[in-house]
Amino acid sequence: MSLSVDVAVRRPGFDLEATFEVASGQVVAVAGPNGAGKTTLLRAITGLERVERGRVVVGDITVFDSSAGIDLETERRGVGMVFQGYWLFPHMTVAENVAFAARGPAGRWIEGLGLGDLADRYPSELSGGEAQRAALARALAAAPRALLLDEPLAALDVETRRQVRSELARHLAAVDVPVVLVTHDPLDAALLADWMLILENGRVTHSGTLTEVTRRPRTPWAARLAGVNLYRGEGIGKGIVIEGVMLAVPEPVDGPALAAIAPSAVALHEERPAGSPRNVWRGEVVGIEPAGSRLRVSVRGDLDIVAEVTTEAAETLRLRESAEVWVAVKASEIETYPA
Amino acid sequence: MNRRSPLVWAVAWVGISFLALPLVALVARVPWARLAEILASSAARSALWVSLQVSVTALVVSVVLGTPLAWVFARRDFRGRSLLRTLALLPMVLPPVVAGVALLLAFGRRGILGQHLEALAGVIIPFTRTAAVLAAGFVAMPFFVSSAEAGFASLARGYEEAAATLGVGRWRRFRRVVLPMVAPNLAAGAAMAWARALGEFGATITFAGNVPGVTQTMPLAVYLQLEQDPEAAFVLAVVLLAISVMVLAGARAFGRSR
Repeated sequence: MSLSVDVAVRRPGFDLEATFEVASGQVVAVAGPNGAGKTTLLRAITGLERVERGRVVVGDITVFDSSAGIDLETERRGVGMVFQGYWLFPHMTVAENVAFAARGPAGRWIEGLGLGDLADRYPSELSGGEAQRAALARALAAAPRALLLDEPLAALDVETRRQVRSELARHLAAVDVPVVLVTHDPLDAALLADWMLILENGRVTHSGTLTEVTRRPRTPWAARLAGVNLYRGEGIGKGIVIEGVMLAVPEPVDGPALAAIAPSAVALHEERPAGSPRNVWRGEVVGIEPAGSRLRVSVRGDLDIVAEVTTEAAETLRLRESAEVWVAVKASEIETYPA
Repeated sequence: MNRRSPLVWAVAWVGISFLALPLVALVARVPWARLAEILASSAARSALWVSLQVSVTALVVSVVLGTPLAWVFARRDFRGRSLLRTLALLPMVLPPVVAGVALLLAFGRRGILGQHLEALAGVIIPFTRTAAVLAAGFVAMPFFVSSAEAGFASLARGYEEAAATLGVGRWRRFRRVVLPMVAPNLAAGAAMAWARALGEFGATITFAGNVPGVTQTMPLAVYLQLEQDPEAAFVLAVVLLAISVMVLAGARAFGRSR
């Protein structure tokens, strides 16, 4: 079984076009900024959103095909969805919610998702994490042939999130249908999904494994998601020209190119460093913020860049706002690829 | 600003007195000693029975026709929706006697529909039990529609959408998800509609007349008895008052339990 999606949605002031395939048991994360059309994409697959053109195939059933005039009702598509707000029916207990959807005995799903103790509770008596599990149990009980999850962890606080995320990863690993999950958190994508789709402004701007998407981001948003510095420039053989600055790179590159630099690969110095690094420029510290046990330092200069340094290094360098520093990036640390 | 304002209190007292005094006067004049005798009389029993039948039938008609109408008003967007909504709610504020005249002109023997009903099927509506039901239903249904529409409109669509993604069809979604969640609104609307149907006077006397045992409902009987046996009128009136109190208390209790 697989899920094949090719949809175009048009609304005043917004349009969405996306094409992708999800294999059985595969989990695809759709990430993108607010308003990119992530939820609209899921709703288009379920049939809750009117699709102008395209084709959606679930398993071996074509549930939507504009050229053949096929447009199955949501309830006949076999596409399950866990909504961001869960929408558990407030007048039914957890067990009743699951039984309402269940094809066959509901007990299996209630036990399987560890809801046994909560079976007789009403949704208003559940914590966020419990409600999320109940919504997942209900969706799975309906025996969907594809499962969509819209920001499954967004409604949870940070502590619960961590715990529910690993639970969810365990449950999703056991699901043998195609799964699409929408998220804006790279950690969710990393731990829950094995393929990633970046959706920006109604278009898929990048798709690939998580490593590919984060090592070679294609857009500023994706670069922020991956936490790397991204530059667009012109390749001229062994170098790339970005905003008038020439950076030496390890691989020859020609024509429009992108250059990604991990903040941990950026070194900061008090004095102009002597010796090996060929990419050196002067800049001014414009921001310092903690990132885990390290510090992220924003430097404005010939090229604006974010460096990640240890707190010890920051002390040695006497880093503070508006301090002058030298930025050095080894050519071998620059990832270049065609734009 | 928590100081007592004597003027406000005085006006408020006048207001509540104005509303309460007539009710107190009515209860005070009820001949409690003759209560059982009057209620057992055939005239009173007949009026009670006619009122019960007419108002319950009108309520059933209101719910059966009004629920889909309220759903369409709440969930569908179409041209002329707001005009049709205004039309549907108009009987709430229309003078009842105008409603009666309008019903005559529609369903009367020379009415635009009534003349055909008589010519084709030999059906004559005015001054029958059916006419009393139509009169009560005409004025009562908007109360149900208005409350049901508010219920449907305030129910987030997410519940139905979630049910649809669970493979649940339209009718089961409505019955198992929507209905239970809007039940309080429907119950409140039904109570208001029933109370309004029970109290109907102007449209009924205009369109259905005052035929004892057929169209003579409690309010008509009260009005008639006022001439012949005022004490009987007071008893029937206080019965209607008691029912009204129960409907209001019931609606309140229901509202609190939500």
